[in-house]
Amino acid sequence: MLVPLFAVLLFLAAIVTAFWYLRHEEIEREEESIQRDLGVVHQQIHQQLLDDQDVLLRLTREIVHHELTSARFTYQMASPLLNRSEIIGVSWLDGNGQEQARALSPSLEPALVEAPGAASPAGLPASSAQLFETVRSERMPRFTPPYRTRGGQVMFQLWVPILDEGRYSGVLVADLDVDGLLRALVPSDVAQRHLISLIDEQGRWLAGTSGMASPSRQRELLTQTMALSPISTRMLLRGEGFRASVGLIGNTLVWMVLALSALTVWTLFGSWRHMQRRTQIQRALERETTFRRTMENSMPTGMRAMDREGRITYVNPSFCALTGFAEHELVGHLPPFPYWPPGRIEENTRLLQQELSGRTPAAGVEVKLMRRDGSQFDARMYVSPLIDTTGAQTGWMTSITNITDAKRIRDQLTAAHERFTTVLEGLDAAVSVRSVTHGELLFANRSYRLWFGTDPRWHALLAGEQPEPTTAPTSFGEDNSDDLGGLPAAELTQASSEVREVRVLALDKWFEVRTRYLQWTDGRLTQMLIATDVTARRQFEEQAARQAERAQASSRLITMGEMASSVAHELNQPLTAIANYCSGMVSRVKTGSLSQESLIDALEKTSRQAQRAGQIIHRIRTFVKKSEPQRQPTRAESIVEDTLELANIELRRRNVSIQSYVARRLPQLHVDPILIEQVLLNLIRNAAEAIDTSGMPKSRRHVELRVTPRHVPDMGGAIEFSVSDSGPGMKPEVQERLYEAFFSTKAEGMGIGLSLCRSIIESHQGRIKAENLYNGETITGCRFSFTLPVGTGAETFQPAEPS
Amino acid sequence: MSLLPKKGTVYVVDDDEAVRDSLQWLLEGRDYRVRCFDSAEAFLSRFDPREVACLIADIRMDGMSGLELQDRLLERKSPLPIVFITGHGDVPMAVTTMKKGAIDFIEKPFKEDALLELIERMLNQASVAFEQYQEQLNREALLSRLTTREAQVLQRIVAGRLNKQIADDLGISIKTVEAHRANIMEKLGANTVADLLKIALGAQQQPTKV
Repeated sequence: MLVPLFAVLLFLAAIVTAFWYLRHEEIEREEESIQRDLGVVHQQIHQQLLDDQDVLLRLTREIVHHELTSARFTYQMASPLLNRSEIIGVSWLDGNGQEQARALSPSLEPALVEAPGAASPAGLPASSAQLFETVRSERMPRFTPPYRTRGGQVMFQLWVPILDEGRYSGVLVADLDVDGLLRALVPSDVAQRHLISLIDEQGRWLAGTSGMASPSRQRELLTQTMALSPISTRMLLRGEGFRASVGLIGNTLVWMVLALSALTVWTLFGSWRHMQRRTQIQRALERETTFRRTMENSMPTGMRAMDREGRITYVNPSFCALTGFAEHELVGHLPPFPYWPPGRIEENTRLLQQELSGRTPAAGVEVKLMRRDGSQFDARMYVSPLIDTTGAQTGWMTSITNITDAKRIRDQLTAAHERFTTVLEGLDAAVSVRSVTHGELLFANRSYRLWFGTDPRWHALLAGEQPEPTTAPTSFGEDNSDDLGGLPAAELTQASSEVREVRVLALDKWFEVRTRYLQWTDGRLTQMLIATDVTARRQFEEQAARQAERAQASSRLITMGEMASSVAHELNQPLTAIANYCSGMVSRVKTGSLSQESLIDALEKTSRQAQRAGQIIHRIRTFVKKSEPQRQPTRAESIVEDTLELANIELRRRNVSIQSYVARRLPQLHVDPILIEQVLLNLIRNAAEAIDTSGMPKSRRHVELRVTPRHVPDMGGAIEFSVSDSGPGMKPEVQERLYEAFFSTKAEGMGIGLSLCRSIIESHQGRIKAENLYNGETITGCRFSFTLPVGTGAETFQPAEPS
Repeated sequence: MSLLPKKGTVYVVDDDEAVRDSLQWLLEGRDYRVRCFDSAEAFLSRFDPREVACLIADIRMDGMSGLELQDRLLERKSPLPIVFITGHGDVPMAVTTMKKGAIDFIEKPFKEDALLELIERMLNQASVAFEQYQEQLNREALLSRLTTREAQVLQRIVAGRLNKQIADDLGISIKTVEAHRANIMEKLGANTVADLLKIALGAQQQPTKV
């Protein structure tokens, strides 16, 4: 910017300098020319004036010599006057200053001139007399300063003394016309070139070559002055140069140059500003372009632009990177494109047609593309129309994303989800998730749907919340309803899952139910429930428990049975031997082949076997003695508690409910709690079994256990335990044989239970009795009760023999 | 004691000494030869299969049980008839023994008549079996006298093939076959083909089941 400005200024300076120089040159030349012309004119005028002087001097001599008289003066003067245009007239003054003669230039209008040689012409500074005296004293010719006549003519006079033998005898006065002088003496070419004028000492213009020259001219002129010396006319010759045209032209040029320069500077400035603006715009554009390019390059999305014929017009580096083809290989390519897998050209062509017709779905299309190395990848393609600046569509812009990874991840996710779902679906357990607040079922696996459909109420039921009317409440003692509604989710979800077992009557299944609170995928608080079908396990457990119970309950019975079997075998041996010996003896006695010794021997052997049998019996008696009840202070409540605990399984299995009542402040018992529990348990189980096997309706499926104080006449204070059922009661023949050992109404019963119970109770000095309960004539149930005396501890246990 | 000939031998196997002794006392009173063993192992080591005898064994014994004893005897292809003594609750076991070929079981204490009747039955059976056993031994002895070739010829005769066919089968002449045949008849002491068949087939049969 500065350089062109500087150049312009330099140029301007050069131009100005050149002009100045030219002008200076011209002025100098002009001045020289003027000088020269002035010199020439000066020379001429000088010469002329000297000639005039000479002429006058010659005349004086003629006068002195009297060759010229005053009469002939005019005549004599004619020719010099005629030849000299500047001399208007010559006057001859004698020594006294009297005019002797006078001659006038014939070309001059006499009227227009003052009388030549007038003694003191008007305008002459010094008077004629003075001059006359001066000339007489000096005795030298003398020029007067110029003066202006009344007619406006600028004149001067030449006074030449007439000397006769050194005596002053008059004077010749010549009137010289300045104008005429110049007119005659300035050559015409000089006059054309320059304005030659005469001025007085004061600078007043006297005469000039041209009328147009005037001192009032505005233009500055080149002026040279030269004194008209040596003649002392007190006039200056002035030369003025005509250079008007040159100056005008020069000025115009300068102004034009200046104007042009200014214009150039302005233009320069304008262009500089323009440049600056351009630069800014360019920078912005570059920034934008770089930004876009960076964006384009950094974008993993491949971009491809096509014209309306499907020719590729642009691809970005990502696209190249995706496909492995170089940009120049793709741009300008027409379909089929090299990155189409060979086996999918048809499909891709169809997609391209779809694309070109603008029917590609906005969500994009999934395509399979091939890299240069032949490997294929999945890509998602989005298409948008390519609009140029005029708003016309020029093609299509396609963006392509490699979704192989995404797809793989998605596939993996799907597979994982499928696996997860398969696992969940394949679970034997029912899994369900229910919103706590809305109670809707959010998830249910196959098992759940299979068992419960999609009814969320089953979830609630299994979770132990308030049972729905449609779902029969079957859970025993599982009434701890869920009161967690107001708790924060975090606490709930961290709470450990509880495990419970619930029986669902409609399915006749037992479920082990685990619930836990969790935050669902949308943040809702939900309850997850896993219900495992444990019917088989439950049944097995029940069976095992039953067996264990039976084993426990009848451990003594079994011991007894085993003992009986063992006793039978043990006794058999000696009995057999005795029988054999006897038979042998009998047969021998019959045949008479029996000697006395052998008889004695056999008899001794027989006796030994009888003793052996006796010993066996004795052993049994000592064994039985060892199994006396271990009495200890016991509270009736704890007996009832323990018994109920044991009985619950059986009751639950048989779907029989039990109510127990234990009177307060009962005295302590001194009994073997295990045995009493066994008795009580036996009675409860019998009751439950009676209800269950007879298929009682729901209203009659309950057992009542009461423990109350009672006064028995022969025992004093006692506590009565009674078990009442609402079963079918006992038949009279059963009632008769109730305590008979090995009598049973049950298919699998051994017939020991009640008889053993009686043994136990009686061993505790108690009484047991059974009775039917009646409502009018109808049997409404059956009641077993036994009493235990209070405070009995000293009595010994006598095993009750089953009768 | 008694000079009457013994009716047969009765083996008694029981781990209870009193029962054993009393049983011996009883049976000897009935003129049986009684040999007692206190365990199955002792019995197996000493019993003589060539004797006409029967076995009374307790089903429950220390050491080898009665059932095992029966199995061992079956392994030996012994024709010895067996009766088991059972105690209380051994009935299912006794049934098993009967399925395996025991004659019967008796419960303690014994009823004398039933016991004696059983022993009589067993001894009868034992004598029949013993005879069959003897015959079998004889036949085998006869057949063992035949040469290999003669045995081959006999095999084909029994199979009902003609001399000519036998000759073709064995690659020998009919004359040779006839000669072999004559030798076989002579060696086995058979006069007819029917006798020949009886000897040959009897020998090939398994020991007669009791």
